[in-house]
Amino acid sequence: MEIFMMGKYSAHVWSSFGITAVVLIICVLQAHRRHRIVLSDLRVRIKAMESEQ
Amino acid sequence: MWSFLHKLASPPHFYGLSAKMIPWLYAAGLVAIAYGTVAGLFYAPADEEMNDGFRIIYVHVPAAFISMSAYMVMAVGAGIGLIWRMKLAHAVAAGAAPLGAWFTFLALITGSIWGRPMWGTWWEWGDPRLTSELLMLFLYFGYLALRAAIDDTAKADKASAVLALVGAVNIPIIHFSVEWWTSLHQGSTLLKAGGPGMHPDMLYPLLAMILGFVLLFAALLLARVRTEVLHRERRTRWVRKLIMPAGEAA
Amino acid sequence: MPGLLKGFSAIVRRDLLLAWKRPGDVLNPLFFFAMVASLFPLATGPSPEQLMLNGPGVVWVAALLATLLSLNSLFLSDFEDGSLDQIILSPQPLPLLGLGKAAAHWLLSGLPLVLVSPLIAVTYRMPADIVGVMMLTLALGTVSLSLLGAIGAALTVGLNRSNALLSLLILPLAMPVLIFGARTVSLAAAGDPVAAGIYFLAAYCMLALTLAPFATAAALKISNE
Repeated sequence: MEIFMMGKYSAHVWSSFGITAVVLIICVLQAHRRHRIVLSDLRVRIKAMESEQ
Repeated sequence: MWSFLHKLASPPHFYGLSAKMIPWLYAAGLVAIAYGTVAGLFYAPADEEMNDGFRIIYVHVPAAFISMSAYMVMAVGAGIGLIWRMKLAHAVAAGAAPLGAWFTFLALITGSIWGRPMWGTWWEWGDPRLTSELLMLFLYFGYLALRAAIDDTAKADKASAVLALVGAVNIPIIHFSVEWWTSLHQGSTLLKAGGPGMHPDMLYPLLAMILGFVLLFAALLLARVRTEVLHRERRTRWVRKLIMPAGEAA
Repeated sequence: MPGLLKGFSAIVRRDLLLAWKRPGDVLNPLFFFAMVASLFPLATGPSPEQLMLNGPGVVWVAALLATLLSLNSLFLSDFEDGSLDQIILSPQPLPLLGLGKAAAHWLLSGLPLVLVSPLIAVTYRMPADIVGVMMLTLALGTVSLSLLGAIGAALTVGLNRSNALLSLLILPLAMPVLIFGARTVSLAAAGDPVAAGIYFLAAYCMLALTLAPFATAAALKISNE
C-alpha cells in the first residue's frame, strides 16, 4: 500500500499518470473513429455513384 | 532504398504499408511504456529533493519531447510538401498537428502538476520550459485555425505549410527569448529533469517512456495520415477498388 | 537592376497616397494605442509605483495590439479592388513588393506609434532617458512586426473570418519581440545595461528583413490562387 502512496505526492503523481493515460486513449480512439467515419462515408458515396451508373 | 521510399510516397502503397505497421508500433510502444511506468513508479530510487513527486517526469518529459518532435515532423512535412509538392507530405503535416497539440497540452498539465508542490501555484511564468510550451501550443492552435479557415484542401495545405515553416524558424528564437526573460526573474526555478548525472535506475525507465511515446506517436501519426490519405484520394480509382472490390455492387 | 528601386518606391508611394486619402486608417490604430494604454491605470489604479513598474510592458502590449489592428487591412483594399492580382503578376520580384508593403505599413503604423509613445510614457511617469530606450525598442520592434505581420496578412487575405485569425497567427511569433522590447525598457528603468536587448531586437529585425519578404510572397501567391 505504501508503494502506491508515493510519499505525500500520490495525488500529483497519480493524477499526472491518469491524465496522460486518458489523453493517450483519447488520441487512439479519436484517430480510429475518424478513420471509420471517413470509411463509411466513402462507402455510402461510392455506392451511390456506382448505382447511378 | 530509394525505390522503397519512392513507393512509400505513393498513396496506395503508403495506405497498405501503414496498415501493417500500426499494430506493431502500438504493441512495441505499449511494452516500452509498461516497462517505463512500472520501473519508473515503483523501482526507481526516490529523488533527494522531491522524493516520489519527481516521478511525474516519466510522463512530463516524454510528452514535452513529443510535443516538440511533432512540430518538427509537421514543419518537415510542410516543407517537403511545399517544395516538392508531395501530397503525402502535406497529409503528414495535417496529421501531426492535432497530435502535437495534444502532447503539448499534456506537457503543460503535467508540468503544472509537477510545479505545484515546488512553487505553490499551478502556474509559474518564471519557468522557461512551461512558458515556451505554452507559446508552442499557441503556434499549434494558429496552424489548426488557419487550416480550418481555408476550405480548399490544396490551398490550406500550402498556406499552413508557410505558417509551419515560419513557426519552425521562430521556435528556437522563442525558446531563447523566454529563457533570457526568465533568467531576469529573480528566484526562477527550473523544472529539473534530474540532470545529466541521473542515476541509471532513474534514467532507463525515462528512456523507455520516451521510446514508448515515440512509438505510440508514430502509430497515431500513421493512423491519422491514413485517414487523411483516404479522404484526399476519395475520387481515385484505387480508393474505389478498396472500398468496393470488383464483384461487389452493381 | 534598374527597375527594382522604382518598383519598391512605387508600392510605398501608392500606399502612402492611399492612406493620405483615408486618414482613418492611420489614426484609428493610433487612437486605439492611446486608449489601450489608458485602460491599465483605469483598471488597476493610479499609484505611481505601479505605473512606473507597468509602463514599459503596457506601452509595448498596446503597441503590439495596435499593430495587429492595422495589419488586418494590409492587403485588404488591394484584394478587393483587384490590384493584388496585378501586384502578384507584376514583373517585379514579389518579395520586393512584399517588402514595399511592409515598409509602407511601418511608415503608416509603426513610425507614428514610435512618435506618439513619449506622450504615453509621460503619463506613466517614465523618466526622459528611459523614453529614449523605449522609442528605440519600439522602432526596431515595430519594423519586425510589420514584416512578420505582412506574412500573416498575406496568409489570411480573402478569408471571411480573418480578424481574430490574423492575431492568433502572429501573436506567438511576435512574443520574442515583445519580450525583448518590453523587458529592455524595464531594465533601463532599473539602471541595468540594455545592450543585449537592443542587439537582439536589431538581430531579429535583420532576420525578418531578409526572410519575411519571401514568406510574404509565397503566402500571397498561395492565397490568391
